[in-house]
This record gives sequence, structure tokens and C-alpha cells, in this order.
Amino acid sequence: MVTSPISTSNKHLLPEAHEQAQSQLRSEAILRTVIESEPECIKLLDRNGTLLQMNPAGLAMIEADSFATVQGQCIYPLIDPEHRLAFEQLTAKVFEGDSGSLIFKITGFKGTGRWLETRAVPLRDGPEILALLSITRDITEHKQAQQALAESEERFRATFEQAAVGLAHIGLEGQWLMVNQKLCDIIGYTREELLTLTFQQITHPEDLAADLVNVQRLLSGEVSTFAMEKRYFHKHGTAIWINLTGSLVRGEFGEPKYFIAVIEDITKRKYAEQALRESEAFNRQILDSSGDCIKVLDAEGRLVYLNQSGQCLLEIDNQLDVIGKRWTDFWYSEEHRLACEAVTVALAGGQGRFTGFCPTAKGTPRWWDVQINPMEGEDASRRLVSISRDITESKLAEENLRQVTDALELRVVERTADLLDANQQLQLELVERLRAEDALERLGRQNELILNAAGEGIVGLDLQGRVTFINPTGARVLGYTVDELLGRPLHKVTHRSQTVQVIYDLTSYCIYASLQDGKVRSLVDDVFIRKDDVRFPVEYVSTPILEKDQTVGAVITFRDVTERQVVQRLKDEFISVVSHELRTPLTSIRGALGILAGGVLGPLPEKGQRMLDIAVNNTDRLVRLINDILDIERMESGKATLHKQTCDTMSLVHQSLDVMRPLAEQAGVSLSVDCPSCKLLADPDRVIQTLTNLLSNAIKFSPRGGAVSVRVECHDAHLLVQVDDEGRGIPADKLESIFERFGQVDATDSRNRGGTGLGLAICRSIVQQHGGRIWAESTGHGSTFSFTLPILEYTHSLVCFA
Amino acid sequence: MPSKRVLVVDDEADIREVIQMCLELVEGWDVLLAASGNEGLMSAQSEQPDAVLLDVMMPEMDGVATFKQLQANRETRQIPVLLLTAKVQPTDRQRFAELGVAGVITKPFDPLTLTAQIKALLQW
Repeated sequence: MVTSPISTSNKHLLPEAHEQAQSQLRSEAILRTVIESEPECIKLLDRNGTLLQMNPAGLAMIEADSFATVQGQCIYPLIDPEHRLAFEQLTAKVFEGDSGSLIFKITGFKGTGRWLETRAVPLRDGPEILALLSITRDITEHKQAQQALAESEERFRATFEQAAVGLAHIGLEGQWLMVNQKLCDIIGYTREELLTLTFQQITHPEDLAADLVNVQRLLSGEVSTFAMEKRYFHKHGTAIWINLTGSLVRGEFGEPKYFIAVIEDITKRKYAEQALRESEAFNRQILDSSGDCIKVLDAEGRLVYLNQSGQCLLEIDNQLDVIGKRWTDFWYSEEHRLACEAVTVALAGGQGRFTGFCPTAKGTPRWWDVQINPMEGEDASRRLVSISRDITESKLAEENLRQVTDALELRVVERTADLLDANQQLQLELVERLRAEDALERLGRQNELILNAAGEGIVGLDLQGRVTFINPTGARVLGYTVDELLGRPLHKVTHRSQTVQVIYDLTSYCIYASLQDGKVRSLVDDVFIRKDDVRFPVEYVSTPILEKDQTVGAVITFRDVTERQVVQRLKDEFISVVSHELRTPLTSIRGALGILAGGVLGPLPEKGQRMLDIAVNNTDRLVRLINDILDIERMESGKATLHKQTCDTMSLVHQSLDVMRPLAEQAGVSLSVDCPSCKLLADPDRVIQTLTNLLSNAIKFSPRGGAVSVRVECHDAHLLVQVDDEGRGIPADKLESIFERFGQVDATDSRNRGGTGLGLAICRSIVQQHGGRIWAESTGHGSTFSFTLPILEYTHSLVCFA
Repeated sequence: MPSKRVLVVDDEADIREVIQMCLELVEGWDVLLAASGNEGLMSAQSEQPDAVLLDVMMPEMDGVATFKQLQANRETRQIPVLLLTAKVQPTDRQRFAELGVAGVITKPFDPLTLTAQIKALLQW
């Protein structure tokens, strides 16, 4: 609707101006149309703010249904009180002839708030100002957007500042553009200081490369964000571990603008992690460096962990083969029961412990001392720790010792019997030689003392298994007197109450088996019952007593193995007794017999001389036997060390031949040698001992007129020495066993040929200590003993040590 | 060769007697006997023998201690000493040699060659 003042002015137009008026009317119509359809508010106000005219867009803004309802009203009440004065001032200004603009807020008739921007100009008619003409735009949306932006920026700033993590904007060159207080706190710089630095300057050099790679990946668009753990240097110089999350902000056209970094201080966590790792590594190291087999079992007894030593000891290639398996299933028979018991005890909070035999995964026999404890810690009842110690060596050592002791005792008894025989003959013929006889008796007493003082039970059995002899120790261990046991069957005495649980098959009982087939047997895990019904674990060896190849009984040596340590002490004492106490009377015996036999006190009858020679020879053999036993004990216990030096083969062989020549001449055996000169690094005394032992055997077993030859071949890395004889040869099944202690082909050899039964065992020890090998071959007519020694040439060792 | 005087020091009476008989009968030497290290020291000083045969394993003062005392005494220092021992380890031999004894005779010994051994060691 067009304003009336305009039309009013038109009423006064003159006719000559009609055309002009017509034209004006047309332009007025155009103007009206424009105003009506204008999307912005166009209004006229008088100087008091009364609405004179308003187009539909304006009416919509103020929420008026029609112009009629608002015509002549003052619009000031619609204006927000805050802006009302400014609007009134603008109005006044316009009526003074100026123009102006204002942003203000109104509330429409229907209550809607709007932000408006208005431009007001005076509407003049000549000098008179008729009205205020304003064009007003609704800027509510713009205002809201602006406000939202401001709010968002405020929120961002607050978030940025109050964040619990370090936040930063970083320029493309790495300079810090904006940082929050938390970040400053983390790295110790003030905001101002930090803004002069780049992230490269405070990054740990070891972490920089990785960081730069990540930055490149962001820039290239390969990733939109990355996270990494890295170190910054604190202002004080210490390294701080942080977790960095980086992303890149790009501009409207995709161009990189700056990086956003989220920085979290993880130093404490890192240290905690490291400490945990170290502690774990430390524990693992302790577990792995332990020589024992350490296992962790779950409540069902299944293996959940096995340390490295355990894997080695058990010869397990792959841990996974055993993890998850029931530990008790690794044990058999009696040990299985003991293992189950131990697990039960440990699950109840106690310590389970037992000693038992369990072969490795590859079948190597091993004995173990096993302890099982509940694991300490939160889950105490859920886990068990089992620590098994490999006690195979000490078991074997005990076994060896027992065999040596048994054999020695048997031989001492035999030798003593020889000496006593000779002694009786002497008594008949040489009554005046009382001193010598005295000495022999002393030796007999000494041996009896040793037998009685032995820490093991020694029982003699007849073919029916009845006790024919028992030493006091044996009787004491069983809780009887010697007399109570004589004549009673050992099996019934020692196993009497077991018949309820286990029906022993007499034929499978090892002592009786020994009696039947004449073989030495040992059992390490039997249980005997004392007179007072107390059961105790024993080990025993059953050695048949042979007379002319017929078994006439057996000697059983048994021991209460709960006193294992006593054995070690006894062993040392025994060695010391042998080396001194036994030699001292032997010195007297040998000296006295030597003087008599040498005829220094005058000639003797022929038979008397013969008897004395026997006594001298047997004394010498006893001395050799003691020496050999000491020798092999020292070598096998590692007490004897090799004194290696550069030697020449020719010299070694000729020295050995020189020692053996008298024996060979006496036996009518010829010696020949084929030996090149060759240097080697070895203990000359020990090599000569080996060679003389082999030569002595070869000579002893050669018939008169036979030949013994020594052949030496020098190869690249080793030396081969062979001793050939023309003796009776060695059965194929004895070629190995002759190197065992007392492993002679024929048990009577030691008596008939003057050997000790230990020579070849000593040779084997010496050769093995040198890193060589020894073996025997036989064709039935004659034997060849060969051994190798590594040639560790002197020049080689010089190069090595240079 | 003029007759020699040899002092035998051993705690074992039987061994003393065997050695005495052996040295007297085989070589005709004069033999002095002592049953302990202390007796041996006194006898060596007062009798000035040509040599001492000294047992190593004796109670109270052993052979090595006795030998050291003999060496410490100006009047017995020059008397050659042979040790009698049942110990045959190479390391023992070396230790005895380092002490400065004239030789070592291993027990048990062959009585018929004992004097030969003594003569060889002492270069009589």
C-alpha cells in the first residue's frame, strides 16, 4: 500500500504537467510493486516513532497480521529496552537531516525475538522532513551464528585451557603456536618460552626420526591421525615420556595449516612399566639361572610354567609339549603315588617333598629331589611351585662308591684269606717267624675292623637266602642282634608285614635272582622293616659269592639311605684309612717278609722260601690294589688334574718299554715297536701309566715265546697307539666290560696274573681325561688295545695365546 | 766305604725295627732309633748321624715340622734328610722337594733295595 503523503502531493499537479504526472504515477506503481515485494522491511515513521507505512516483509518481521492493526502505533515498545534509546536517538538524528544505521533487537507481537539491522534516512519534501524511511534486514540467523561461534570459541578456549592433557597447535615447521597450561606444566616451560621453540628442539633425539615420519604421513594424507610414545626433554633436562596424538588441520582447499597435538604425560606409567619389566626379567633370570627344574602347577596339578633349566634337565625340545599336562602323570608307580601325595599336601598349604626316579623326555635316567609349595601371593591356593633338583650324580656316585666298596671288601677278604693261608703254612714250617705272622694277623684284624666299622649293613646269604653272616652295623640297622638273625631268611625278616599289601614273588625278588643266576644286582628303592616295625628306605647291592663258577651264596650290602650324608663322610674317612692306616702295617709286613725272603737272616728250606715268596707277592698286590683304587677314586672324583706339557711320542713309548722290559724278559715275551716322532700336549706320566698298563696286560696274557708290539700312528688331529699281543684273546661280549672296574674276563685272573682289576679302568679314565678314546679288538688269537689322544701341538697353543 | 750312622724317626715301632734290621744286615750301618719328632731332634743334635730317615705322618710333631726344626738348628742343618711317606700324590712330591729334603722314599718299600735307594739319593 502506497503511502498517502505521496498521493496527497499528486492532487495538486497542474494539467500541463499531466503527462509528467502520468509518468510519475507509472514510476510510483513500479516503486510500490518493488516495495511490496521487497524481502526487507521498508517503513516510514514520524518523529515520535509512530508507524506511518510498512511493507508486508516488515509486517512479517513484527508479526502483525495486517498494516491496519499497527497503523498509527508507536513501534518503540517492540524494541528491546536495551536498544530503545539508541533507536530514539537515531530517529531524532534522522529528523535533523542525517542518516544512520543501527543493529537492535525486537520482540514481535507474537513474542518472537529478532535481530534487525536498519538503515534510516530522512524522507524529504523540499527542506521539510516528512518522515523517517528505514530499510531493515532480519539478521537474527547471522547474529545467532555469530553468537554460536563466539560461544564455541569460548568453549574451545575453556576446553583447551582446562584440559587434563597437554594440547597444542603446532606450525608446519614445528613451532609451537598455541599451548595450554597443562602442556607447560608437563614440560616445565612457560607459555612465552615455549612459543619461541619448536617441538624438534625438545624432542629426545632417539624419538625424533619416528616422530618426523609420522608428521610426513599426516602431511601426505596417508593417515589422518597418529599416536606414539616419545620423550620430551623437560626444561630441567630430564627426559619425560609422553603419549602424543597428532592430527593435521587443513584449509578450505586442503592445504595443511597446522597440527593439533594431544600430549599426555606417561612418565610414571613408563617407569612403572619398566620397573615391572625389569622385575619380571629379573625374576625370569633368577628362575632361568637356577640349576633346578622349577615348575608352576595350577590347582588341578597341570603344568603352567617350566623354567629353562627344567626344560634342559628334562630334555624337552618344545615347552608346548608339556604345558597343560598333569605333572603327576610324569611319574610312575611308587613315585606317582608320592607325587600325588605331595600335590595334595601343597594344595592344603604345606610342603610336599619326596625323592624319586623319573627319566627325561629322551629317556635319560634321572633321580630328583622334589619340593612342592603353594605359591605365595594373592592366588595362594590356586598355584603350586615345584622345585626339582637333579640328584642323579650323587646317586650314581653313591652307586659307584658302593660297588667299589663292595668289590674292595670282597677282595680284601680274598687277599686276607690268601695271606692267612700262607701264614698257616708258615706256622707249620717257620715257627720262629712269629713276628711276621703277628703282622699278618694284625692285617686280618684291621680288615675285620673295617668290615665291622663299615656304615653299611653287610649280610652273607646261603643259597636258600638264609643269613650266614651279618655285620654289627647290618644287625643294628635292622634292630636285631647278630645272633637273632643268623640262620633266618632275610626276605621274611625285612619284608614281613608287607605280605599284607604286596605279595612278593620270591623269584622276582632281586636278592634271590642274584642267587639263581649269579649276577650282581642293585636296588635303590626298597623298604625294609625294622624289628620295631618301623619302615625305612634302603639301597642294596646283591653280589653272588662264586666258588669255581658256582654260586654258593650272596653278599648283600645295604644301607639306610636316610643317612646319605654319613656316606660322604665315611667315604672320605675310608680313603684316608686306606691311604695311611692300611699302608702302615703293610709297610711292616712287606719289610719283614722282604728281609726274610731275601735270605738276609740266613737260608730257608725250599718250601719256606716258596711260602715267603707268596706272601711277598700278595703283599705287593695288595699295595698295588690300594694304589689303583686311590688312583681311580682321585681321577673319577676330579681330584687328580692333568699336568699337560709338550711330549714326544718316541720318548713316551721308549720310557714305557724300558719299564716293562724286565717283566717281558722274565715272561719270555719279545717286544717290538714302530713309532714315528710326533709332538703332542699331554700329561707324560699319565700317558706312560696307560702304556705300561696295556703292555703289562699284553705281556701277562702272552704265552712264553710270544710277541708284543706297539704301533703309533700320527694323524692330523690325533694320535693312534695300538698294543698287539698273541694271547688268548677276549670274548666279544667282554670287549666293553673289561674297561669297567674289576671287569676282568675271568674273575680268577687277578689272582693268577697279579693284576688288580683296575688297570684298564684307570687307562680309560686317563685317556678320557685327555679327550681321547680307548677300545679293544680281538680275533680270538691275540688282542689289540687301541687308544687315541688329541694332538694339541705346542705351536697351536702359542698361536692361540698370542 | 766307612760305616754310616743313620737316624730312623718313625712312630711305628715295627717299622723302626724292620728298617733297623734292614740297614744293619744289608749294609752294616749303625742305626739310631727315635719314636717321635722330638726324640728325633734331640738324637740328631747329640748323635750327629750321617742321615735321617724321617716319617711324615706322625702324631704331635709331623715329619715336615720336624724337618723344619732340624733346618732351623745350626747344629743339625747340614744333616741330609730323607722323608718316608705313604702319600704318593705328585703334588706332595713337589711340595717335599721345595722344602729342600734330600729325597722321598715311598712306603711300603722293598727292604732289600732300601739301602740302595738311600745310597742313590744321598750319593754315598
